[in-house]
Amino acid sequence: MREKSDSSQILNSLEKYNLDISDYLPSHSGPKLVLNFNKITTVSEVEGIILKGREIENGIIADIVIKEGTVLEDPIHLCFGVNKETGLQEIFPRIIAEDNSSVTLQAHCSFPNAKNLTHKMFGHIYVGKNCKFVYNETHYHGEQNGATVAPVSYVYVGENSYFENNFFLTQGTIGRMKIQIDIYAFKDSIINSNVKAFGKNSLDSIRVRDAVFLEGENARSIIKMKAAAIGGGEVMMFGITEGNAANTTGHVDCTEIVKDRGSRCRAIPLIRATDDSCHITHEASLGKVDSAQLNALMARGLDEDEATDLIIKNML
Amino acid sequence: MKENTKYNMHRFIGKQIIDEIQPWFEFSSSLPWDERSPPWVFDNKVRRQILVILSESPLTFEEIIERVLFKPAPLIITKEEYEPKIIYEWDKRTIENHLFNLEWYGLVKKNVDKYEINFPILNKEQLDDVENYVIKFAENWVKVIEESKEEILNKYQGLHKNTPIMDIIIEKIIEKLWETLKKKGLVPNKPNLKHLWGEQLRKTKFNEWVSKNFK
Repeated sequence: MREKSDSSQILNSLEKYNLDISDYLPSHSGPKLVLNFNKITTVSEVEGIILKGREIENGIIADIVIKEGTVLEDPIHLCFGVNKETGLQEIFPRIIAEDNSSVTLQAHCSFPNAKNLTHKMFGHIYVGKNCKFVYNETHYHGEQNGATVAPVSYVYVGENSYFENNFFLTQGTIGRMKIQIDIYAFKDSIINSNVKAFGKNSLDSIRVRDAVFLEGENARSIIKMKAAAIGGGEVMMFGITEGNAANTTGHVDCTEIVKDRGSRCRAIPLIRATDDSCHITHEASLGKVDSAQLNALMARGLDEDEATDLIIKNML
Repeated sequence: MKENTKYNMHRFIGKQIIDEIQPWFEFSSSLPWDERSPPWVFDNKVRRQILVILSESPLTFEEIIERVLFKPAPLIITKEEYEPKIIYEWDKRTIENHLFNLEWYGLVKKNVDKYEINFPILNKEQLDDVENYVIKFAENWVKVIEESKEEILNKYQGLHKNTPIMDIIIEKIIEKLWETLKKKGLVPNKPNLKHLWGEQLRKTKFNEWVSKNFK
């Protein structure tokens, strides 16, 4: 009974992102791997998916194989929830999507009561040829700045495949977070990586390294990083794109809003070209909200604070 | 390139020898602002892997291409349940670009038709051997520090309460040590004597580590 209410609390935090939790409830028939702290509570496979998890001392190891040609409409749900206030969770997922597959993976990391809780992940995603792979990761760390979150992911995207990464941490407080995602893109692949994060007070520190290495001919990528730091929060976005193969194209776009004294934003767009036919660009803007947008909202009766909050909310 | 370690199996430390201190130094750290330590070329896993495989033996261009390809396997799903099919291969032009880069940084050099690394990467056995000397030197330092610690702490108790005076002294000792060694001719008399080198962090492959530790 206790477990059920724990799961519900974790799942309910998805609603903060306007996601339909009916897709993720235990009764839903879609593929899923659900954790309650370091215990595996649900493993559910469907045709075309092999899903296996093993509990370890402070977490789990998980394998997910999406077999060749599998096309899934329902997302594969990974729920790494912890209801405890303190503890350590270490996750080692390895995901292999074989050729011609099409899936969405919804990873949901919810730590609603975190006071001194550490979540670490070391994950690998291998995407084959002609695939569509969407990886959504939404986080909710409660309201007490008590989480330390450090995921590291290596992603390999095969020939002619599309990979989309959506990382959102915009609800609740963050605590300390340090994310690294390195994506290796092969011939004719397309990478679309989106990161959104919101530091709300002086206990929030967000540092993101999102790197794309264009390793195959005609590979293309875009990294979009959006963040806001208010109330003394800190955000650092490190976007790397490296063109190492012929006719590759990449762009890093970083927008960060800083509000209130003591808040800090940093952006380090790092672009490199090691082939004479690639085209890599970057664009970054940091600081106060756009004055034209601010004036337009203030002209409609909002005060400066309300208008700024609305602009940040809209961006994230 | 085999994706089979817990984290990265090797790390690279230090930097290339640089010239006398010049205005392009970043004065807060006394390091050049335009070169990271270790150099940025290590950011890319493919280039790191090329260096690691070349540390085993010099290889031709074709052999490097062959050795960097890899076939990812699951961690706990058995071979009976699933046979890995995906292979990641790099084309010639991309590997050429990586090698140009590594050559420019002086990290590899071409000797006739084979590429070889231009700086040391110590394996586990060599590191264990070196450790004996490291312990010997450290024990002597500890002896001196134990003898002088009380005197030092008494002398500097008037400083800011959080002053890590022993840490500061140890850092200054390292600077002084290099200076003295250069004067005595025990190391070459060059500025910024910090070389690039690599070390093998672990030998156990990630897959083996998983099956051994988490049955």
